[in-house]
Amino acid sequence: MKAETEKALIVPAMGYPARDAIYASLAEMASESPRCVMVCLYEDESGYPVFHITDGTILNPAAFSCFMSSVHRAAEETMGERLARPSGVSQIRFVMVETERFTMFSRRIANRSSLLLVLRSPVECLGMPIELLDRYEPRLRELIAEPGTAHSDLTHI
Amino acid sequence: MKFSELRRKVNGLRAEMPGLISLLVFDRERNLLLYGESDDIVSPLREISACYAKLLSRLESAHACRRTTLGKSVNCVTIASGRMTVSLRALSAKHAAIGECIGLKCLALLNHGVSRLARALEEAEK
Repeated sequence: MKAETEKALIVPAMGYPARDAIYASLAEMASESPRCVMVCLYEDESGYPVFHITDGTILNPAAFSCFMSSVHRAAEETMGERLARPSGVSQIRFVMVETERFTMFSRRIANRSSLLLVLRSPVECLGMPIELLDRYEPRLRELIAEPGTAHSDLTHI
Repeated sequence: MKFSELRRKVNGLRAEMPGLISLLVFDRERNLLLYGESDDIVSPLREISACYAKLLSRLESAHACRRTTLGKSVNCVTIASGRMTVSLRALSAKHAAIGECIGLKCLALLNHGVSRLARALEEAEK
């Protein structure tokens, strides 16, 4: 498993034509959340952080995204089992993990990618990060799935 | 541990919080359900507990090698699915509590319920 993860980390990110617009959206998202230490888009399978923005205190973004990739997969399987449905049909809206240092929110978006928001713990209002994920998901989904249509709102950071 | 006290607390909490479907406490070391209450008439309590115990175990394996970066322990996991929201809280190295509710609106209520259950367990152990 470890070897697979390391291999995944050296695979170059796929070409995303809307790269700048994706970074701009992530930066905007981070700026709206005062306790945000990292926001990233990662590949579901490997946990590879394709796009990430940090406040400078996160030295290893892959540690967060790889972990949340495993947690998300486990959560989907668990909910499938709990609700007696096939895995992946449980329509998980988000998974949140809280440690004494960080609170991480992960949500599947598009093209086998997930959006991850890492905040410094404790988070006073759990509703706020969820609202942020709700609001930014459609734009990021569009930028990843149909990159050619989203260049009009491209902003450089 | 005073199980009668724990049972009373769990029943009381569920009565106070009508959005909650289930509240369970289990022994993490032995994957053993200690006490629980649930409105789910299809799934037996032990199945519900076993399902989340397995999740906790997978989560801790994933966390183990990243402990120094992410923080030494996982305090709480919340899963919001289309049907229900689940809060899984590690109470100690030995115990964990699970709360389930319908929908996302009662996320705060759910977390509050599980936190109170954690305190109830601490008191029951004294």
